[in-house]
Amino acid sequence: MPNPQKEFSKIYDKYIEKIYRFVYLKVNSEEIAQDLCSETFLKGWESFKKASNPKVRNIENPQAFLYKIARNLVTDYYREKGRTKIVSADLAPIIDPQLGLEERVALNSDFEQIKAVLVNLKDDYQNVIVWRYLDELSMPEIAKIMDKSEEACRVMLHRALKSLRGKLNQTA
Amino acid sequence: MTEKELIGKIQELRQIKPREDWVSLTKKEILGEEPGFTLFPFFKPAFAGFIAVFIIFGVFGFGFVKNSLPGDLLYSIRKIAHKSQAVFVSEEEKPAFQLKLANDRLEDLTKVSAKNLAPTLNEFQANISEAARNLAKIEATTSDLIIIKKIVEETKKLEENKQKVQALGVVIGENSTEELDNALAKIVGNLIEDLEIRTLTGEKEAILNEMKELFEDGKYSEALELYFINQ
Repeated sequence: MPNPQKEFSKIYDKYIEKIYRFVYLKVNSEEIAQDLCSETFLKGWESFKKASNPKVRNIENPQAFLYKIARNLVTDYYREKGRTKIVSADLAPIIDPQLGLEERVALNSDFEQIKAVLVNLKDDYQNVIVWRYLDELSMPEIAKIMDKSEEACRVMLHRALKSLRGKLNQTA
Repeated sequence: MTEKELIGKIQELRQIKPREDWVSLTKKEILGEEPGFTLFPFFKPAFAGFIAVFIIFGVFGFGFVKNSLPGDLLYSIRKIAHKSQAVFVSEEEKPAFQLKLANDRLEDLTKVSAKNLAPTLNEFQANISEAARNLAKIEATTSDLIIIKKIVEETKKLEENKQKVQALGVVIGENSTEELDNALAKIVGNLIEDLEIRTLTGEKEAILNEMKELFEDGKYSEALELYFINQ
């Protein structure tokens, strides 16, 4: 008989880094990213426990499921607290203030620049870039998470890259 | 900028990673540490750990482990044994169990060398903190008297051991048992409040007054003992 705790432990190990990065790029704060990320996995675990009951429908794609929870939590975070995702016009470097001095120094300018631009991209554009180039998901996987056709996702990725390049050029 | 260069820049964001300690702590909080039941536990790594401990016990002898002190190599095995014992102790019995461990550490302090002194004091402090945390969860007014009795016994022993250790010149911080005192104060305070709303005989009224005096003097374990012996 499968052990749900053990199975979810593997899922946790596999996706924690991805989900954290995904959330972090949306909230730009280590503390908030940690809160939302742990809530994502807690909700994920609760659903997973229920789904491990043979009478309940199984979670077919844990990755898509976790991203969906994370996206909803980020949306709730901005909605409930009345926070607006601020898009900075001057693209000032937005390094997490909790990072230590050494870590700050270690971050090269490319990193800062791309992060500042990506954080300020439209939400869907940001998601598709993160999933494709950071998490290296395939187009069918992205389409599943976004609940869109593969073609629509390809077009979105193309536009997202174009937008990113445009914003980077502005800062150069 | 070519697409390849752009993607290369994006991939620099892989530097964003959660802290390792946060990752493992969160996992423990979400999933807990309880292993699921299985018919073949010997295939589990945790069980392999027990086997390893068992073998080590066999090789080095139980005595070496039992007499090991904080700071010694074998003490980690003794500590695992304590943790294993704690698993089988009920929530209500946990404060007395942790107090017993604290007493054991004080007894260790009477025989430690300078090298073991600081780790033993740290262990003592950890046991006291754990005992205080567990005590805070106790509802003394409805607790079994045997539980209260054990807490009283271990607390009294703790005072005696503390004096013995201090007589040997080992300095235990003045605030070392502050957490415990606060937890005991809460318990005694609750008992006094409970007694105050009851209809008491003259004799019990006198005991309550005596408990109040002890409470005000900060002699919480004595107040608790007085409560216990008069039940």
